[in-house]
Amino acid sequence: MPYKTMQIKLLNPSKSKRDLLEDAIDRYSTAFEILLREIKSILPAVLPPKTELLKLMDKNFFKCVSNLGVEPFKDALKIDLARLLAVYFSKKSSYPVTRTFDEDIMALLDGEEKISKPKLDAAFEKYQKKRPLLFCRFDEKRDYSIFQSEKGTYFAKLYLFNRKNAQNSKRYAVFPLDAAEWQQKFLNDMKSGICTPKSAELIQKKDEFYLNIRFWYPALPKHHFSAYIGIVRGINSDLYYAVSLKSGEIISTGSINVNNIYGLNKFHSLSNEIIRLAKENKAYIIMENLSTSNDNLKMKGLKVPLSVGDYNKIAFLVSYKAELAGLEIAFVSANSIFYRCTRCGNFKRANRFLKDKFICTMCGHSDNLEEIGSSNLAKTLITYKNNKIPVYYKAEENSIVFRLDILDYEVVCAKSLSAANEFCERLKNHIALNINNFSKHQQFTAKKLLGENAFSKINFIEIK
Amino acid sequence: MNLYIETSWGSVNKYGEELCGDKVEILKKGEDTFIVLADGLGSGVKANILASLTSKIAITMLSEGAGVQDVIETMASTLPVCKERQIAYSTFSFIHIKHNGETHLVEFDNPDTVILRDGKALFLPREEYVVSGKKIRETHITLKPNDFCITFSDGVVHAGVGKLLNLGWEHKNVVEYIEKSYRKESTAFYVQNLLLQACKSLYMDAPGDDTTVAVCKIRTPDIAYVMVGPPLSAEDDEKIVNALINFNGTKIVCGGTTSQIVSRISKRELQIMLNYISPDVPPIGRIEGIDLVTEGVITLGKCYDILKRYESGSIGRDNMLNSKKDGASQLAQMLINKCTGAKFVVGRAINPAHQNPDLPISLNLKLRLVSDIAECLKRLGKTVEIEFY
Ligand SMILES: [Zn+2]
Repeated sequence: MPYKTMQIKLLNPSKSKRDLLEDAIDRYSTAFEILLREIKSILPAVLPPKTELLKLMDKNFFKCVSNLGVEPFKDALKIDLARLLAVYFSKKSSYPVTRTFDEDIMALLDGEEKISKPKLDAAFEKYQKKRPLLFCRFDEKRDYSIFQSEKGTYFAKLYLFNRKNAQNSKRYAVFPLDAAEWQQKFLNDMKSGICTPKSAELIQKKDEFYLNIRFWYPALPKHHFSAYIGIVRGINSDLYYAVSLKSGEIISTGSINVNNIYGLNKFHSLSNEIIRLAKENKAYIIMENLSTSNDNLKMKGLKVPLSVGDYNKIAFLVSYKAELAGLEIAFVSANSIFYRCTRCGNFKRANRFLKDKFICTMCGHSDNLEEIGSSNLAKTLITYKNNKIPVYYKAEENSIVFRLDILDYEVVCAKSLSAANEFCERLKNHIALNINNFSKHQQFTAKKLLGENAFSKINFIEIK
Repeated sequence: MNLYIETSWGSVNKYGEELCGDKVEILKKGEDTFIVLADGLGSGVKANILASLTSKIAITMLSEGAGVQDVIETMASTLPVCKERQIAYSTFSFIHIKHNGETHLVEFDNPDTVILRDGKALFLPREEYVVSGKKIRETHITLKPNDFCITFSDGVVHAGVGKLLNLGWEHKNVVEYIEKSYRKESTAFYVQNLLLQACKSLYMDAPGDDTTVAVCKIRTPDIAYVMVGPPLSAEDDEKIVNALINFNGTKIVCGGTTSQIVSRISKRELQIMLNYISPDVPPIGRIEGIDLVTEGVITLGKCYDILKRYESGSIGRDNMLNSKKDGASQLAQMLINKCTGAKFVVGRAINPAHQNPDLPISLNLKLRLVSDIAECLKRLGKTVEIEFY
């Protein structure tokens, strides 16, 4: 389920409003730490299921923070605690501390033991530390909500007080929001029901307050795709793409660039462009898996604009944008893509002695390296996914030569309409006679071809 | 020992030109091999005439022992002069290889000839001098078996200009490519064709200049004696089989009946090898002392297919030539990679197995196949001889 988070600033709150917000965050943070310490004694040795954990936090449990007026945050505190504990149990590190108080510092300083510097530093670092104030649901009657005035201004309605501390008998306060173009888009989506607001966090940066709101966008039904688009790191451009039909024919290639934009915005622009190209070509997106393997693009004396880290960031953005757009995406090993000849399949380091160009040492085929890499990438899934076996063929003057690499089988058939049928018949014969001599890998392929409809299991790819 | 100089050359024309402005002449005279690669100024008809005249004059005079100076002077007085630029010449490279590998290399304005030994280009110091205002470069070297001597026109050096590579791929990259794609078993044809294919691809199939490559591979001679079919007269059987057994080179027998004759006369057992069964090619046999024993017509037909494809330079042919082990592939591999020439001894007896009307394979087809294979091998720089019995 794809979530998107939007940050929006509370528009110039007055001094008194700022005090209210700061106080709420402070109460929340203090209550959180106290509860965190409180629950430690009743925690089982292993992480209980979430429902059990939430049951532990009953009415009695909250007594210790009754003086903080955190009734409006009760559910949020429970969820927030459960989340932190889940992390603690999964990491098995020391018990977490989110905030330290005067007493903690004093206890440290007055203690019998000698205090270590890191311990003191840690205690000071957490001193009066503010935790983001969680609102666990969007609701007009509690937690938080957003509404628009008749003039079009957006407001946040935040429930910050209990009955006792209610301001003008209201348990909530209202804050105008600073909705720029980017935020407007989310808010419009929300208004028109495209997305649903979920939880939100109130945070303070210096004197400014922000709401981080999580929106849930339902995934669209997947589009039918008719092509593959491979996206590789570029050399003369940020990224390079190739679009391949399901038959393996490359129908377009090009560079993807954004100028004068940097950092995350650049990655967003690049990923948006990838999504646009994929939509335009009704293509299944194939990206390099650079987290576990290497594309070996870098070479001494050759500058590559995007680092592996940059590419991975873009890949992450593309993967969730693809999901939102109903596009399919796969990450595949990019190990050989810049070294394998797109014409004859020859895979050698030597094919790339010109650094940014490719020249096959077997057949002489040459091209820009980006073309080679992206074309190879775009075609990787054809053999995996289709489960179809690629057979290359080349028409010559009076004959058609078929080649099935996996079985190392090559045959010349008369150039006629039934050439492919003839090939299939001869292939079956060949397999029947040789099946016992095949390697395991070959047998796997061979068996697939032995059945009734061998023809339908073959992907015929023409070589020109 | 006399070395065999396997030669091969090829050109691609400047895009849109019908005639090539480069010209290669190869002359085998006695035990010496002469090669001239001339590149006429400009392109089209004029360049073609310049290059043809230059190569003809050079090869004729030099092979007759004339000095370089005489050749240049003759050219200057013979070649037509370009009216606009008052210059008329064609650059050239001239290579003279003697039977013992001693080589004389003369270059005038052509890219440096590359000598490849064990996959690495040798550095050749060249002597420079001026004749009739033309700077000539000259060197001597003794070539060894498996050395390659690769010469080319500047269309090779400029391949990719303004297309894939801004400045073309330059001489040093050409050399590097030749080194990187080196395979010991490569033939002169293979190296020539590969370099030409690479240039074509760099030019994106629209060469900006005439592009020509000529390659010599120095080889220890190894002739294949290929016995095809039983002789018309059974009296010849023994003579031919004995010649085969005593032949100094590679021994090949093609044909079922033929192999039985060889087995009978040599008193050596004929085994049928069933390890490489292919639906297309009948199994091979084995007779002690014979390098390859195959079936006849079907194998020859398939072998011819392989040779044709090799010659056409189509892709994947390396796989096809080198990785298969059926009779036709083995025959093709021997003829192309192992041997420097072939002597076909063709018997004209009609094979009773082929009298079946369902198999319309005639003696004519066999003769046709042998002569087709022979022509193909000749084009690949091999010496070929055919004898009929
Ligand atoms: Zn290739």
